[in-house]
Amino acid sequence: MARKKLETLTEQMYYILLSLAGEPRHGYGIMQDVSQRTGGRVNIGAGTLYALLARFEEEGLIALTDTREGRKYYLFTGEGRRILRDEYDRLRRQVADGADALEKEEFS
Amino acid sequence: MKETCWKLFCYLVIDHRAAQAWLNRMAEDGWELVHIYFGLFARFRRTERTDLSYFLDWADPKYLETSDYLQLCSDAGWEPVQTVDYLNLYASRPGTSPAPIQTDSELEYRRFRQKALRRMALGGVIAFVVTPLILLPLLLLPSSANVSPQEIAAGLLSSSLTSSLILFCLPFWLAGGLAYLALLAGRLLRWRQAVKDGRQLPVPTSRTAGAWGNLKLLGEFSLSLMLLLLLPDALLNGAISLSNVIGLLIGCAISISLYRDNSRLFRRVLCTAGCLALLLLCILLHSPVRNAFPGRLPPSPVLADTRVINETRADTLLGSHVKWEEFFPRPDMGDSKIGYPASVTVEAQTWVSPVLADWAFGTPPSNMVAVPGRGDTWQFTGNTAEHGGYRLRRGNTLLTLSYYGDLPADPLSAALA
Repeated sequence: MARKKLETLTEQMYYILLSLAGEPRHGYGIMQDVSQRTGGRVNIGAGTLYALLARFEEEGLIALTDTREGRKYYLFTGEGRRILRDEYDRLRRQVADGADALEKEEFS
Repeated sequence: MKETCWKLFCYLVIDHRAAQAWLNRMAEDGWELVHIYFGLFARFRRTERTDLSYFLDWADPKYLETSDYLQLCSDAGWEPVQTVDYLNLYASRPGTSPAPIQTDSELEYRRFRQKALRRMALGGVIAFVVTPLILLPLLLLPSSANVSPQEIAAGLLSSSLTSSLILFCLPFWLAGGLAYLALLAGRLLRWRQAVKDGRQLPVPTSRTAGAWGNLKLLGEFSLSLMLLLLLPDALLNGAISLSNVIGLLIGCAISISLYRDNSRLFRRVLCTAGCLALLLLCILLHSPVRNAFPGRLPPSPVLADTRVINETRADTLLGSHVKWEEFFPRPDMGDSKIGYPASVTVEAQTWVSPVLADWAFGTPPSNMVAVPGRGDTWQFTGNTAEHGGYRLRRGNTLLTLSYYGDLPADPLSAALA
């Protein structure tokens, strides 16, 4: 799969990588962390998460660290950190551009 | 109040959302799915649960879901119930209100394309390639063998129950297949648009899904009937090839060893092997059963002192067909046909109604001339003086005699006698 496709992340992809930034987690741990982090706004289905984790692992963004009681634990790699950071910067610029445009509209 | 109930579970794979919605409506009414038998008959039992919900997801029949995937689904609150066709059925665990298993429309659409659509399209292409290949000989044979399509169809209808059903159902199968491909294309276009718009995949109405489900049921019923008719065809009409069945059994044996780790496919192959074994038994019992039931047209020698060989007999609901050869055995050649002085091939066809008989027999070919003094009797001559024949129609029965060689008696007189 071409890396180009992962240069821009969907919201669910973004939060999965965010969840793996601090510590290794298994699938359900990621689902719970994302739901808690977003106050229930973003809920990732088990099937969707499984497919995305497989894709991230194939692309080298995350790595399997452990398997315990049938649960796989992942942590993101250097490449995953880079992709996450790029997405965060992109979103920050997007918010800043939006703030400029909306402030100008307020005072116009 | 009833504790169990039975319902028909009949949805196209592409309408799995409608099937899911139906299961959830049943759950709201207090019914919990126990099992779906033969992919069609769903058994429910009463439940006190108010938090029961279902999710249906695409499945690849060749592979069982991995244990870590099932563990993840279980952690999330979904327990697997059953796999039906290309669908995995999950039920929510008591005390949980889990998020749907699939929450990304684009991913779901792509998974459908990878797991189900390619196989469906392949099946459709095979059907539309194999069907013409089957029909091609029927189209080419008439011109090469001076046989009309009418005669071919009549031959099939009078000699094989399975072929009769196939001839009858083929236009409906082709029309249904084309309609299904059109439906598939329409649904996929709507899904693609939903993905582009960032919406959830649309759910077809229960009415539409139900109508297509009924058509699917009709198609599956006709296919099941066709397979079932193979048994009487093997038992009575000798219409099934022993070598083909043995070949298929060998294929099953190989598949059993390949799919030993996949319980779903293993069971399916085992069931197929069982049916083939039953078919094999019917083929082996054909001779004694046929001798016990001579049918509408029991063959008998036309000429005296002849030996009958290559005898075939068939009876269907619409007609019957028999064929045999008679030859004069030479004492020094035993049963060998080589070098015998003359032979007669007799073929007879009869129908249950005069309408069918009129259609099947049609008008005699142009190379036949009416025999004077004998109504409904025609004669034809071959390339040599020793080769010729007769065609007789009596009521709903048509008899064709082809002779070769120097016969001791006129086969027509012997046949009329």
